[in-house]
Amino acid sequence: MKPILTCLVSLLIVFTISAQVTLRGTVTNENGEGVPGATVKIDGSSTTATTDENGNFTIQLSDGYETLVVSGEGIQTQKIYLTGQNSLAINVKSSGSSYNVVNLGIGSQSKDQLTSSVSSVAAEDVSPAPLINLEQANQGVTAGLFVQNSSGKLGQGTTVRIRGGSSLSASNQPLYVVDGVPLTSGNQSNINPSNIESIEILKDAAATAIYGTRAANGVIIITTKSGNTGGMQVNVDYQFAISQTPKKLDIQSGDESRIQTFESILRGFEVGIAGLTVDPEIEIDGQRTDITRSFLETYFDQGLTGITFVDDATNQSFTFNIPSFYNELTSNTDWQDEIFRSAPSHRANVDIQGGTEQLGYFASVGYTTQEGILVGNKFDRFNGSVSLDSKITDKLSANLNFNFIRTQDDRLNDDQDLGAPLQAIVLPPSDSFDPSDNYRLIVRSLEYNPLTETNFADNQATSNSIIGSLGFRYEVSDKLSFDVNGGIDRSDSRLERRQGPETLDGAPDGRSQLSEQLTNNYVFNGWATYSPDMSGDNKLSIIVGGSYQKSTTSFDFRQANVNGISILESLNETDASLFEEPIQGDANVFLSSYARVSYSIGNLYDFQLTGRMDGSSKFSEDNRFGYFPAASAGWNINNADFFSSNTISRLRLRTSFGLVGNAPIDDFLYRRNYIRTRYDDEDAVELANLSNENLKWETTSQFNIGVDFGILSDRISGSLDYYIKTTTDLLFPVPVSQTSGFSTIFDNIGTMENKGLEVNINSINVSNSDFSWTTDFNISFNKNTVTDLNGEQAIVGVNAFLEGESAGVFYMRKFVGVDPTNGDALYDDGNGGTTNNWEDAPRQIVGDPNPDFFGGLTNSITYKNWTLSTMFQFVGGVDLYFATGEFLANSGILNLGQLSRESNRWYESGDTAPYPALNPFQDEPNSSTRWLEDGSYVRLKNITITYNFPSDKLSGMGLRNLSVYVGATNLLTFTDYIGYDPDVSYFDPLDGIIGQNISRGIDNFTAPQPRIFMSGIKIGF
Amino acid sequence: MKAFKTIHTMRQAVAFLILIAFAGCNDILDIDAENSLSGNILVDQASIENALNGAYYNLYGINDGSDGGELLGGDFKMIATLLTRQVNLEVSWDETNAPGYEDFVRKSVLETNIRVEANWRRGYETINIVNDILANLDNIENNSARMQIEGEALAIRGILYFEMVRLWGPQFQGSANDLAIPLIVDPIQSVDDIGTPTKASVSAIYTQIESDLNAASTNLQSLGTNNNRISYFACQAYLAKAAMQRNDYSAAEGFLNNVIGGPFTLESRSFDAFNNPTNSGEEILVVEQNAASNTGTNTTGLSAFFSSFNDFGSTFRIQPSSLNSSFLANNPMFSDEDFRANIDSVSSSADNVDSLYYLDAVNTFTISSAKFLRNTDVIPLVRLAEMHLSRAEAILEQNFTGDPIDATALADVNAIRTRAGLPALLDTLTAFEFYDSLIVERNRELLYEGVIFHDLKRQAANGLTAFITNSNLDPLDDRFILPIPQSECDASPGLCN
Repeated sequence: MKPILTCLVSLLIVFTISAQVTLRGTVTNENGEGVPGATVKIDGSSTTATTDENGNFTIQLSDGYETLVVSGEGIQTQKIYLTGQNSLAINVKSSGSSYNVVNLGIGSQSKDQLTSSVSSVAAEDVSPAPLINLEQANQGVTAGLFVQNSSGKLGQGTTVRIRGGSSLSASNQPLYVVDGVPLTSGNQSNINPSNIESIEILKDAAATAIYGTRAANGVIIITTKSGNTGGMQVNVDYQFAISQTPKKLDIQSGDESRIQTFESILRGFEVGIAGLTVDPEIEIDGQRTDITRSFLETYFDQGLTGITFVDDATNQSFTFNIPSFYNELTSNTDWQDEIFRSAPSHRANVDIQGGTEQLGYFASVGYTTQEGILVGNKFDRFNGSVSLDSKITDKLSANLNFNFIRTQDDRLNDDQDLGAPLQAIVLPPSDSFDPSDNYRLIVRSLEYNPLTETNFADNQATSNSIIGSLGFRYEVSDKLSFDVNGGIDRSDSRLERRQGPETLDGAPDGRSQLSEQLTNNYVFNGWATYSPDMSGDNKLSIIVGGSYQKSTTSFDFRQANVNGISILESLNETDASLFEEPIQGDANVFLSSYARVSYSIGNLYDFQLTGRMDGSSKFSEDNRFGYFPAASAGWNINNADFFSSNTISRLRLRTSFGLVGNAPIDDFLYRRNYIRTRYDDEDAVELANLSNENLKWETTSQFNIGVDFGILSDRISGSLDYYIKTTTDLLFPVPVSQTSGFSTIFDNIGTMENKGLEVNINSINVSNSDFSWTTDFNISFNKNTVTDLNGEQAIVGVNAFLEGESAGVFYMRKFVGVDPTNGDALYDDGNGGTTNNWEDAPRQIVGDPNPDFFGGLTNSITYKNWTLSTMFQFVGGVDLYFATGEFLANSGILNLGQLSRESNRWYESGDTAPYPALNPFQDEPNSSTRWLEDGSYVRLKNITITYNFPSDKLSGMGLRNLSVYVGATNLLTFTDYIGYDPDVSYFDPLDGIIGQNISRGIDNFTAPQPRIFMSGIKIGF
Repeated sequence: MKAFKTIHTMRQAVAFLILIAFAGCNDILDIDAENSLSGNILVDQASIENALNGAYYNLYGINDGSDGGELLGGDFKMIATLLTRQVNLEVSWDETNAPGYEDFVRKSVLETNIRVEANWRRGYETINIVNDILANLDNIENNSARMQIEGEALAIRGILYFEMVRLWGPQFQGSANDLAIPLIVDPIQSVDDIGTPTKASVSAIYTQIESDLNAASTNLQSLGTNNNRISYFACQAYLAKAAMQRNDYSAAEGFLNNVIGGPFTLESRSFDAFNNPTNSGEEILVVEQNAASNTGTNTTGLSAFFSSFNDFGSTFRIQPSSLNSSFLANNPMFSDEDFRANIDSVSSSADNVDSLYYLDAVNTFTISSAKFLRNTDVIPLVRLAEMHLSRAEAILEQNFTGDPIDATALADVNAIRTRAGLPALLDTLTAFEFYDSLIVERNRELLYEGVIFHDLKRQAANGLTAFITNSNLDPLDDRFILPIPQSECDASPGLCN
């Protein structure tokens, strides 16, 4: 990783350019309109200028390195540090916008008074990349937020970790709050990125404590756009993109595959006579030979029908027939070409925004249709939203937000399913397929071919979702106000699965399944804000409130052996072939009260106390209520009397400590639960768990200390945070006597720790009227340690939870090479020696799937009307397990396709080969470090070039703005990783939540993130 | 100071809110999900019947995922069978398709064996279900329903303790006071109820078995065959099996008379007792299977092990020569005229097989037993044929004389012989000749049904020379007592010392 880091640092280097004396400039607002009447002042002098009706100004400078202060009515005051330029374009923000105000979910706070650790992502930071899901849009954007894609298949989940995972048995995903509604539906992924006003990422306990039991993994607050007080503005944008696979694996050719099959057949013969012979050799054309690479290469395509082995020592010879199928394997199929494709996508969006003092409005519709890079994968989404802000009376105002989302997803089978397209890479390249025979293989027709699946099965998910909120605020006076709001988060989804009789799992008449799921999540929230007058510059603000949230999900499932969803739906309830059973739903209630007290002394000190009391239906009466307090403080050192610096313009120290919680995913673990089943056509029940009244939430305490700084009038600004996050009372499946009928029960044991450092640096490298350049850099270091498990451990596949190690460490046998005498794979025996017996080799801690560091680097360069922006994202110090490779190598016994490098295997005694001999009888998947890889990477995640048409030309056309762009996503990836994509995280859905939390860094036939080329146009009028 | 005063007021407000929350919100937080079955659900007859069906579901090993354990419907037959059979010369097992059974074939069962653990856990899970039912009987208002449910629940517990003690414990005769397995009769409803179990003696377990099955017999006696659920006759049959296992022949004869006097009749051919969608005339207890609930498909369950009509052939493969080899220990030594040794070599689907053995469709050098071919047919657990053979043995053992052989005992054995095409035995046989005949008859009739293993143990405990395989392994050797699973030993300190 060192060269990668050096490269990043050098990219950060700032350069300066020479000075001038008279400065001409323009002050424009967010919409590119000139701001008239704004005051432009040289800091520390009396020289001022006022902008004209077009926002233009001229000001005399003494050396060109002064600091300008731009202020005015309706705009935010802004400081600009000059670097000798003679013209300058100044973009200012309306003071009404959320730029400098941080939404804390309940209440908001000025950034200057923030005592907690919160990252903000403003709307314009959500780039024009063709990303469908919001989580992906935040990858690499801010410190402390680790985003990992589970797969390049469309509509797939994303792993999001704020400051590391904190649980084994409960969720590690952050809580999402959209317009005040804490989601349970997962709808955040499908919010239209164009509608997002801002995203706040609450990281430390001081920020998250107000979310109590659901805050252990951090909180992400999403605010959608709302109306303003200007005239109506209409924005239209359209984007077209083409997606491709970023890479093809180097898989052996048809001939190489035949050599492997040939060798496998010969070695099978050899094993068959092993008990009867001493040193058998092949006799061919009167010559005797061992099985060698050169023999295989010479004879694999000679049409041999029989092979004779002779053994001098025992004076025996054996003749075997080559199986007839072998000589039919003459194709050279690139299976990757059959399943990957160039896939188009379109995205269109229209929104209107405007309003008056009494009523502000925003509305939008958006449509996205995207095809996946793997055949059969498609994702469509429609978004519609309305937001109204109404000032009903002087004291009463109302706010309505409504988002509608409809998605339709043509899904692919699970990565491990033989019907998943990527499974095609295991098929022998020496075979081919026959579309007229259900796409089956021509020679090895019993091998399942995913093309049969994609052509004869459907897997379509449709969902209709609503996220909405309605809130009222009554301002009794400017000191006291009351807020009440209600929100809904509803998702109605339907999964239609049809497997035709041609497919592997389809019954002789086909099979159809229909699953429906309805999530309803309501929240009611009310709080009072009291801000009494204080003496001097002191400020006090108190928020006290309460909330009620109920989330329910119901499930329906029906299945029958028929070939079509409509037939399935038409089946009568009494039809014997119909399987339909009541399924237990989910339900939980949170009842909470909370308070926050903020107190500022002058502009120097800020203090904040937060507390939440949560009551949760997930626990027994004794453990139902939890109290989560947090305290924090900030000190504006730059405002202190002793502080004087010309370079440091802002210096603020923050610290916080607090507690938050995490509840299990299952709803009623505290009492006994039963599962419905049937015996002999009668209803039956089975106990799912024993009552467990002792369970309580996991508690995470977090200490944070941070500093915000600005240098050279905030030309360079940033923050630095260090945190220690300790989770206690980890829910862990503890073994118990099986005479209870169970092998484990959940208990609150164990502790886990995350320690880390986060750095955000934003720099305005150049800023003048024709040319500006900004750089934003962030990097996060997190070290996770499972500090105590009460002597227990949990192992899933090659990942483990072990005391003293990072959560999910790679725990497997160490592959140390190949025995030159017999080609056996050798493993570290744990005593300094080696063994060829995989079972005998002890498992060892061999790697860590949790990255040491990750981050991003964004550069934005504007020259006249052109803007170039690039975003690099990087992850370092991380290991990945290439399980795909393990399967491919073991599939050698079945003579399926595999990586070209496996040709470099052991053939004959004396070979010093990196890969073991082909063993036609090895039938166990032997996971080992042979497939453990460095998963570090640097990726050019986004690059866009935008042309903004000059406003003087547009005004004649009645346009406010017009821009066109071209760009690419995932254009370049620098990595040593051998698989398709190092941004990967597969887990077996059958492993449940624990498997999901343990299984990290696994690449198991997982689809890569696509490389996308895009172009688009944005029009405003 | 003003600020602090405000904060003080604040705190009062928070305290007030907390107070409201505590007072009013336990009700708000006591919720249910749609279709949920949560808390103590055993509150009336209907719910307790559902729980009882759940107990049957587990007792019979209806497929419950790979870690399920199949108890009576599979593993208890399979484990007992594999432990007695001679590997390679007689049978082989396809470990790749059904892992975990190789240990039984090798007669060396590890504490970590997944089948041992799965059946141990599911066995006690089932016992816990019936313990819970028995603790909630008062919630059933209808007297006769309560009697029936209590009877079936007691019978399930008695049967399961019997099956478990004879697999995981030493023989009664000679080891009655040795420790066997934990005896749990109180329900475990909460994690707080989980204690560290201790082993009870063999005799304590047998006392429980007999007490449960006797009480169950009383409760179920008026219900005839009880709709093919556990009936009075099934209870008597298990009491007979338990008495035979204790080598208490007099008690066994009494129970066997009660069963044989019941409404069961031998099928005209042994083959007809198998592969039926519903009970045949000679089945006293069966596992009911249908497409929706059965002991397994594809790779688990008896039908998957015995059916070869799939891509990889049977999992459990039999050498054809073993059927009439006199060389193998405990072998049936079928004669040519015995219908039970017919091998169907032409059928290509399970529906067409018409004899008790058939040629493996994939591995054509081996044969398979046709006793458990389809997962939609009943699995016989206790057949009348076994009862007849047991009664003959019980009568003979009580009065070990021949010439003439007791007429009832002779008729019992001849009933089984003649329907198989064999000549009837004459009453002029000596006691030893008759004994040898009835033992080999048991081997022929009950082969691969999991019975012979336990016969060898009780016979060895009774002082007879009995061996397992040609290596002359002693059936009473510890290797033939299943180990308590390692995971149980780890979780229950002291249990395995």
